[in-house]
Amino acid sequence: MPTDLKERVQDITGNCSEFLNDFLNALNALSKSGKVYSHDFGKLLDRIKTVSTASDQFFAIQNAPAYAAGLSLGDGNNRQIYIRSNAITPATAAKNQQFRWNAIAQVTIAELLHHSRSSGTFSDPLLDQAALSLITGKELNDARAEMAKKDYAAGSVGHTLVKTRCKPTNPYGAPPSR
Amino acid sequence: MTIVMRIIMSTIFLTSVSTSQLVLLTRIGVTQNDRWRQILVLRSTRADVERILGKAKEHAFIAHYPVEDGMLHIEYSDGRCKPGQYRAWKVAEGIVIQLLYIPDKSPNFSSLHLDLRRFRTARESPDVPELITYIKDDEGIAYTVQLDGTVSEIRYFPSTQYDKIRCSK
Repeated sequence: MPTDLKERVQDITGNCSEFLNDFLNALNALSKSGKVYSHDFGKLLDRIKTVSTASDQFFAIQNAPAYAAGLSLGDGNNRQIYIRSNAITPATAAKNQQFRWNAIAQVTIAELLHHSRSSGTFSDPLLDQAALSLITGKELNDARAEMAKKDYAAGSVGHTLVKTRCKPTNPYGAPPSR
Repeated sequence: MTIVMRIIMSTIFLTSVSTSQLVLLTRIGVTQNDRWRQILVLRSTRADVERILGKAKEHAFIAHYPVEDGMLHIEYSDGRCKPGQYRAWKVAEGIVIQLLYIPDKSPNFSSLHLDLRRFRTARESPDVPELITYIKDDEGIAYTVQLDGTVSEIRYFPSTQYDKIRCSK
């Protein structure tokens, strides 16, 4: 795990702060009881007790599907985030550790969206609902088509939207000092 | 009426009731604030919804309404039914295909006293596998339950009686 995970998270989220504000507002608007704890991803990360990489086996034990890159477990004072670290990861890491660390930060941000609920967690279908309320035109039609697919995985619309809009300043390097 | 009673009543309303049953149930106990429970998946149209809840801010495929004790998100059909789609129905554009109700005060799932033998369970949230959804396909209702046992989402979808108008997988 990168020792500067928080800085990387804040770098990425800072590059799309307006969009993430809208996303969290959309999540807020979906419910009255599950208010978003904070729009500050640094604060959201501070609530997480454990952020760690984990094996395919760990993901399987947790009943996560094979395509899940991250896991959000626990609630309250026992919030946890796990990032899948499979057999390919060491090879990738050897080529570019910085790139891998940024990827870890991106998955962490995706999981923080689940943990952004004041009490408990937001589900993947709710993240999709929030995402759908933010997009229009072709982007919306494409998202609906994706959701209509036989192999559609809940959460993919919301997570894809965040991943495409929120990127590190230096994809192959450390975050700039702020 | 307590939230628990409302949820149980909504189960009655939003599943496979006939029109006559609906009228009867409506006479029994739907208050002005409960009127959204008259909305039926695969039966109600956008016009029906707007007559009950008013016009949505945008003419979108998902409309959001604050209702008493919660938020209601209504998904309409886009009228398309292409091969390979599974979340689509052979119905006209603007027909309600799903309701998602998020209660203000999440009731404890156990307080609903449901016969869980008649439900199947699913993990519908790949990244959050601890969220368990209890689904009753023959009534078209699903409850998503948080780790602390509270119900965070209630989803109404077409029951199995409508399988014949489901777009082929």
